Amino acid sequence: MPREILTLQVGQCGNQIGSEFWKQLCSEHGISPDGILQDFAQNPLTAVDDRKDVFFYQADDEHYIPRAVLVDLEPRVIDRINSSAYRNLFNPENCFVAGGGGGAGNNWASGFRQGEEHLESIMEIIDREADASDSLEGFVLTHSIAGGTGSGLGSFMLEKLNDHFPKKLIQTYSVFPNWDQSQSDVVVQPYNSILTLKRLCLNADAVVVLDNTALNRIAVDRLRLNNPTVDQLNSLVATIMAASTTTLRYPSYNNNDLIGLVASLIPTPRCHFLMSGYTPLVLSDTQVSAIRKTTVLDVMRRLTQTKNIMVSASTKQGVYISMLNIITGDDIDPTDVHKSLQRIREKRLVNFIPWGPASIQVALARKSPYVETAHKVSGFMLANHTSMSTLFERSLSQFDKIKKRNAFLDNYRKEPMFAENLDEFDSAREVVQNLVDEYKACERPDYASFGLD
Amino acid sequence: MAATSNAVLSPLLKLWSSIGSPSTEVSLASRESHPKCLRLCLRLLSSNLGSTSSTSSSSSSSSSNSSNTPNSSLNLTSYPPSIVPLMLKSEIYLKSVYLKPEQTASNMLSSSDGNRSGLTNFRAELSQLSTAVSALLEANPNSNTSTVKLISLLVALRGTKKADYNTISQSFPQISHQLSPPLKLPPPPPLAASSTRPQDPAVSAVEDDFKLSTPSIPSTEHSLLKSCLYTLQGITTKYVDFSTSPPTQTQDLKLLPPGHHGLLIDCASAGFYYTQIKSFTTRYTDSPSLVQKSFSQSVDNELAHYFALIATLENTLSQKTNDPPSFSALTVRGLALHLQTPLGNLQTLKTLTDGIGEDCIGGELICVLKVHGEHGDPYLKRVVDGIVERSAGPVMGMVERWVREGELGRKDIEESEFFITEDTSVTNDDLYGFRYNLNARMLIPSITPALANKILSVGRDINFLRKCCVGVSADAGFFSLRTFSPGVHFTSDELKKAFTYGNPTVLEKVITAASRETSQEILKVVKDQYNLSSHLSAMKKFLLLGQGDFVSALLDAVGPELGKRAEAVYRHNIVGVLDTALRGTNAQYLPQYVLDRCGIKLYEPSPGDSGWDIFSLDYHVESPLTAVVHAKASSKYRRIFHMLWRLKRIEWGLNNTWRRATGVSHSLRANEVGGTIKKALRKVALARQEMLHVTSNIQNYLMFEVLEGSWAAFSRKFAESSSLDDIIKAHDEYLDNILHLGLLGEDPESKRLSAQLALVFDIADRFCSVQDRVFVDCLSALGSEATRAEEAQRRIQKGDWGFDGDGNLDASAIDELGLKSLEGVEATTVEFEEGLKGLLKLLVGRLSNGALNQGHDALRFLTFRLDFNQFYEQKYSKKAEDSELDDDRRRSFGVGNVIF
Repeated sequence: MPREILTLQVGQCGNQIGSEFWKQLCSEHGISPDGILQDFAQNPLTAVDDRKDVFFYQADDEHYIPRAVLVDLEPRVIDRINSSAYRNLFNPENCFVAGGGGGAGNNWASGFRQGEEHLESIMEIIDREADASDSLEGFVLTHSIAGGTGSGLGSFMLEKLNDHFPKKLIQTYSVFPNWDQSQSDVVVQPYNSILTLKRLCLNADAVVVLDNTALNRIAVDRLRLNNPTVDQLNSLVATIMAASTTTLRYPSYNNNDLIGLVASLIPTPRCHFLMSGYTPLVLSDTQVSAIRKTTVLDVMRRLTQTKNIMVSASTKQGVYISMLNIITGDDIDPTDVHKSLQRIREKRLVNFIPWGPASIQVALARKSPYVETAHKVSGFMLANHTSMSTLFERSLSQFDKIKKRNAFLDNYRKEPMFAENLDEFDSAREVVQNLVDEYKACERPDYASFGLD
Repeated sequence: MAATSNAVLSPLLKLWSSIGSPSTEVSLASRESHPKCLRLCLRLLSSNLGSTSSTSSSSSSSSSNSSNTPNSSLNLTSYPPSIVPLMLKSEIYLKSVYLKPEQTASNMLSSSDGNRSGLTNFRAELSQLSTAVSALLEANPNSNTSTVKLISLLVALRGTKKADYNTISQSFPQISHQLSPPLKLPPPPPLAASSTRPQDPAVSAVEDDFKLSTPSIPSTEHSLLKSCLYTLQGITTKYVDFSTSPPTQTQDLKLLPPGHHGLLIDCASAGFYYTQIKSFTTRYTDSPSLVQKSFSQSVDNELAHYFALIATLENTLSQKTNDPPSFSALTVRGLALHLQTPLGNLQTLKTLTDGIGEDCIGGELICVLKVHGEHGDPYLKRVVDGIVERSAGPVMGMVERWVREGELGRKDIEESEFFITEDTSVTNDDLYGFRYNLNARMLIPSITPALANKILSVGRDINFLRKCCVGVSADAGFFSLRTFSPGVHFTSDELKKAFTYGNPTVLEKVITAASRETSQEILKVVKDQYNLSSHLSAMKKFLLLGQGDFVSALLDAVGPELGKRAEAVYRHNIVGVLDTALRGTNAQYLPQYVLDRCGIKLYEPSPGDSGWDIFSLDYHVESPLTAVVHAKASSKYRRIFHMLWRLKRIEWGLNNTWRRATGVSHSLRANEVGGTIKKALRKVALARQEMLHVTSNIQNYLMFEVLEGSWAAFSRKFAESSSLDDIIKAHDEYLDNILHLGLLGEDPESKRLSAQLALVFDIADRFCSVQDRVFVDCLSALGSEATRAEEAQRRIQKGDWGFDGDGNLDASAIDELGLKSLEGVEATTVEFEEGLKGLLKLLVGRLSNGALNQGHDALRFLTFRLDFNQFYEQKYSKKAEDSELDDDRRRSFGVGNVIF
């Protein structure tokens, strides 16, 4: 009963960050790129008590196979994975590439429609995987919200997963586009974003927001990369994803399942967009880090700083609804956590909601012994913060800008959802606007009665 | 005269020095010859004094005792001034010894020499005296009789044997009249009346006897001596009747002259003591008590000496009857001299045996004896010590057998006398801690309680290894002592010495080594063969819920079963579930011997209990590990488990309802429902969050601050431990620490706290089912809404109005449903808030109570975490302001108070 988690990688971006995530997991669990457990991970002297079966299962022959379904509407990314060193890792039956191979052309509506078309084939794979698990806890969807496949097909899948598996948890790692228009190559990304956000809001249980703007900023500022490549950014994302699952993979007292992890972070169902932070950040190919000293206090303090957060919203404004720190390292003294928390409160580094009790939850996790790191202690933060709404507001204003002119709508009108009218845009906008309002309300003491008049 | 004087003196001095040489010296301290000589000297002294100063002849001795100024008894003018003080002292000393040791000695000597151990000092002064005499001789070669007197005095003081008098008298005929025996010594005062009898008669007896100094033994004296010898053996004679106890004097005795009378009284005392002691030894020779046996044996040995003396005396008496009286013949005087030492001995033995009752056995007996040995008289001390040593023989034998083999001997005999007892009702499970105990009553004086504890531990260890650790060689333990441990090596002599009474240092060395040996052996066995550390860490994983994935899986699997009524819970179902949870999680990688120990326990249900109330995880610990995880420790584990399990279960319940809530909210978006239901859901969400916040913070506190901290401390001590005792102690501390910090203490304050905590948990628990009802209501509302919509759709399709009048009724019914849910939720929430407020108040109260300093920091941390964002602080202080009366609450939670 390992409370398995099935990862669904959708679209170009989703598959890219997904495959990076698996690379990271493999190295942390001592699994070679072709899925065989490496010697040091088998040797009883060096092996550790980790839980590989949450994310992997074992094939008939000792192979560890990721519980992952790879879905795309064009073959490019999946082909690349299948020709990489990790080609033997994934179950080939779990890769779905749409027959036509034309992709969604950055059109949410096209992705959504193609989802409908391929519903049966995709659901078959998911069902097979779900049945193979003892007690599937939920799904993790990796995708971007701005493109066509990840957003459109992803949105469709979110809706269908809700219907199909009403009792399973759905968590997403959603990549938000770079808001700087000059860097964006997709003009319709505000449309796609708003349409996807509606599904994320209504159909997902927890969304970990990965903001490309912030990722870029972190790569430039923190990692000193002038022109971060997509791979570098993806490996950053993989680090975050792996870190957020540490407590699931290395059992200890608490937070051993996804519910335990997210339930305390999300008090009210709708406010389930989480920001993440990580420190110290190191990319494998640029092992030089600006940070030399890592103590629990340093790490926890840095996690409260906006510059280490993967969302381009300031935590100086607004309040924290909840906050979880996963501190990873060997031999962490719990009293250090204690002291750090006191310091953080004394210095008022975090502001919490005024309408209920809230505190920084700290989980201590072990570090994978198979991965060399330069730092003794590292920290991962998952937080529910009201300033997340600034991201949605930004989306809304960009959406409004082009929607006012009814620009770039032709491609959408070609799809069945918008064939008759554009109501879906308004409905999506309303949902997102409500979300923004609710987040704003969270900053006020009378949140309890918000929207109940 | 000068020439003669010198000629006389020099051989005398030579003799003196030869006697004084170490090889032949008769110790002054020894009473064997001493009193004899002293009395002789006194006699010499007084006779000479008498001749030189006639005025004081009769009163000299008598006055000395009471006046304590013996100057009057000496004609000091005839002595050079330098030796006068020494002479005085000599006289005092001699008189003191002669007259009445116990009384006079302290009286007379304490002023100058302290007590009787002043003998040694006196001896030193003697040599001064001799030097002074030499000087005197040189200075005044013409000195006459007074010099001779001095020398005789010296000779006497040096402790000359009878034979030497002959030599002296032969060598120096000039002075032989002064030295030659027989000198009739006065009998010592009869013992029975010694304390009250005035000294004067004794002294006058001296004077009397002196007049009778004729060298012939009258035939009456021979018969008298015979009677004495009989009397000495406790046989009735015409003088003393032994048929009564104590013996009575006959008329004949009273007719005897005082000197003979006294002698016979002495003999009668000796005889009486002898019979008493003899009857004691015969009584105890067959005693079941080994110590009593060996005590009576050693007393018997002493009596044998006494017998030997009587035999010799008898021999002398019968041989010499017809010979002319000679120096060596037995006389009344001589007998009196001979009797002094044995009489003292007998008296001591009598005192020793007097205190011993039937039930005085073993170490207790030895303690009683030992007390008598604490005596300033070295001779007496030696006798008593000898007896103590021999009597303690059996106990030391038991010690040796115990530390070598772990055997206590026969329960009825040996064990009752040993200072270690075995409680056979204690099973092997508790052998280490409780089977063997110290019996302080039986502790022998040479073994301190600390050493006794060490001895106890050695034998206990051997027994533990033998009885509890299967497959361990029974030879473990002591007899490898000679070869083990670098640097510690014992010869057989040392070992022999160690187990002889009175060598506590050697014994301690050996026992320490043995104890180290057995401790290490046990540690090795327990750690390596019985995997103590993996079992302890497994207990932490299971009973203290350290194996989180297993606990989650178990909760998931066992939850539905335990939700039933206690009576409907079946053991086999739960066992099956446990197996699945063990196999399905990382617990499966634990060693099989650990997994085999993991089980469940279902308690006897009380009416109304649910499965949760009777369920407990169990970790089966067997001997020898029960030494560490003893019954008390197990019950502590259980208490901790129940608290943690309850907390986990509530968290699990809250998480599950969170899961259901998200499900409901997904459905809600599809179908908007009435305001009351939404209100209820919001209320539920916020209340759930509050509860989750409390439980997860308490959990975090327990896991990190309490469990991990205590475990880290314990692991450290475990690694450093050098004996199983250390581990047991560390483990007990570990559990106690968890209980104390985990709000499970036994003090009233902790009890109030844990009761409040239980109340809060109860409410949270109930809240889970309240939520479930809300969700059911909500879903049914959604359902009817959906039906209504369908119905409307159908009507519209038929071309009718979507809703008729009934529709409104439906909507209000749903609203009412929501209202009902809302009431339920609100009631529980209010209850919870009250409970939580009480809990926080108790926590703060405990913090401000300085009495419980230990763990304050940890507790402060819990309180601090529970209100990290100062929500409660503001809420309570605001309320307090509103009501304007709750002063103390405001103090507890007031702004600026660092506690929150």
